[in-house]
Amino acid sequence: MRHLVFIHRGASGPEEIGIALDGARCEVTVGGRNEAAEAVRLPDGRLSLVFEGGRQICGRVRPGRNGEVEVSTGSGVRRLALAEPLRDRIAHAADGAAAGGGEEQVRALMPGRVVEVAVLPGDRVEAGALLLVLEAMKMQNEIRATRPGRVLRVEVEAGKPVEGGAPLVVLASES
Amino acid sequence: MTPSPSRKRLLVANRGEIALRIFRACRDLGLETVAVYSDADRASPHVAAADHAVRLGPAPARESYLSVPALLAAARKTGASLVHPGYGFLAENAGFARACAEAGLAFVGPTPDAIAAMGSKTGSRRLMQAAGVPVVPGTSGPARDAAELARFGREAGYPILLKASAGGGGKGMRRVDSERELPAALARVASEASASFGDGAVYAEKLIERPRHVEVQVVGDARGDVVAVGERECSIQRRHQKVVEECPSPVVDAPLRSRLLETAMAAARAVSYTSCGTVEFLLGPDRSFYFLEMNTRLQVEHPVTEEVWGVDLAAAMIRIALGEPLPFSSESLSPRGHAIECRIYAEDPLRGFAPSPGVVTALRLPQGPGVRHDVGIEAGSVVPIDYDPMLGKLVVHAADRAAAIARLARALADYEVAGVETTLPLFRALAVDSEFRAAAFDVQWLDRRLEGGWLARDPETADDLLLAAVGLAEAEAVARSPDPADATRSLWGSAARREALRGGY
Repeated sequence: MRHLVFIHRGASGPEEIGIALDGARCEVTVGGRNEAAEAVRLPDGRLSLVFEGGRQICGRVRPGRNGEVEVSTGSGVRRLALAEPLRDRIAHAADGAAAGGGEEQVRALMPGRVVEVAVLPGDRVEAGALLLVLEAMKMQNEIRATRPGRVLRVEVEAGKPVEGGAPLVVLASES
Repeated sequence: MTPSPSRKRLLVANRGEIALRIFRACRDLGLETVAVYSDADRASPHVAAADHAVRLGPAPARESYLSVPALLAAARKTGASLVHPGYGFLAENAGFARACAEAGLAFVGPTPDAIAAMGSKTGSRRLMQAAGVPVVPGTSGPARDAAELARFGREAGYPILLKASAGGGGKGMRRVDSERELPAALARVASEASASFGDGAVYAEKLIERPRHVEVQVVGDARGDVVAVGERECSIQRRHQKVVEECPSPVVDAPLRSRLLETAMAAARAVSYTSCGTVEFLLGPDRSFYFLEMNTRLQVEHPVTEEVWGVDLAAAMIRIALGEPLPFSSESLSPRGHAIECRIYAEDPLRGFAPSPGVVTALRLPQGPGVRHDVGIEAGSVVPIDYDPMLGKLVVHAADRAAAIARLARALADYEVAGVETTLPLFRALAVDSEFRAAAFDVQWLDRRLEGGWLARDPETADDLLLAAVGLAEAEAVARSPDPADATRSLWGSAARREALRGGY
């Protein structure tokens, strides 16, 4: 059983999508609603989902331009902004920077375990500086500063698990 | 050594879907086929479909499909005795038809004289007037003064169009709605014409408002017989290029049809027409019609006529070129149902129809009753930048127009071309458009629709999100799997791995 979390940026703003994969069985959680389906890849590469009530949908899913996901079905081709949280964060780092005031909370966008903390409160960091390393989905993800600043607080400890959404480091921006 | 084939061989001086279409007719008639190709087309389907194939030259059409010496050499090399030009390229080039004849090859098309006579705008207009074919009324030459134009306006009826004799491309034209406006309009056009073209001569034409494009399929043989095989409605155009064609026209009733067909046959007889050809007309809202031009070739949209009239126009052309009489007569023909053709181009309708060359990574064609494909690509095909970006044609046929539109919608929902953008979204929008369904359109209708932002990117649906999420989850899971065998199961294949590596976190 694998659990994944994606960020979907639709018309109503970013939302979290949870997926559980267990062989052909999958469960998708969107906005508190949960749908279970059997997922099968067709010989021509398309994906078919049969839901528990018997409803079937089918389409081709491919990586699109600019990190989007392209879905083509009988009614046409659409590109969705759907990405794994860290990649979503990288893609939309500029949004946060523009919206943020003096303080920026760096959050864990999926549950994981802190492997290493690379900064101490008071440190000055440049954009791109390593803040900490988070292990999630058996991958070690380097969490880096998206802009220059000063470390105000470190909220986690190496070796400790963190929840999805938990604050990791708080930065004060320096412009 | 020139081979002497036991069966006759036909060379198609073309590529893509039309080459395949003509090869099928050859197979039906027991002829051997000869393909020609440029360097861009060695792996194209038309080459693999042929019994013989000859390289013409580099990708640019000038050095390959338009090279008369290379084509004649290819015919010599393979012992072909017939040459079919298809459409486009050299199809309406009298010089090529003549060169084939001089090389002892049967040109599958009309005579060089007929091509030349219909190729001249002014010459064909005079010829048609002499044959009693209505042309758009106009002053016979530059008007001497405002009084002559006023006389013309009263005779032809307003609105009229003033045109600079030396003009072109839409420049130096002005619409005049009444005699009162005439003096000022004439002064304006004449001064514009002098300034832009150094020639102030002005002539006038009747302005046909919101015309439809209706054309008649004609077929003639060497004995002088001419048959008209119904009309086609081709008013769905984008910037004067046909996009959708139908047979029959939804606005042509039996009396109008018989007048159109009689007129088209008179036009064909006037040039002793001996092959498949098309006489194009502008049809006004008052049901008056005027000769536009004659296309002296097999047309892109010939399949809609074939479906409704139960004829094989490509085969008929070849049989006539072999010296046989017309394989059908007016009496033996009767129409059945309604057919619609969509020209599927590798263009992005959401980005101003920008060409979208590339690799067709997946191709799924709809099947079932009343669905025909004349397609020049396969999954894996490269759409080259060197030629017309038409991928193929979807043709649906049903008992009546409403059923044909329903069938079109059904087929489009199953049509998938991946890897390149296509005009399929345009046809999906058309199939549900109320004015299209009511056949309430004219030749500028689609341009007006497109200007109004009619084609928008579809909003994503909840189902799209479910598919995307599961597809992405599988790709991510596989990309992170330590087992390399998983990669082959990935929905995204190596692309996902590359993307994952490029992610850089």
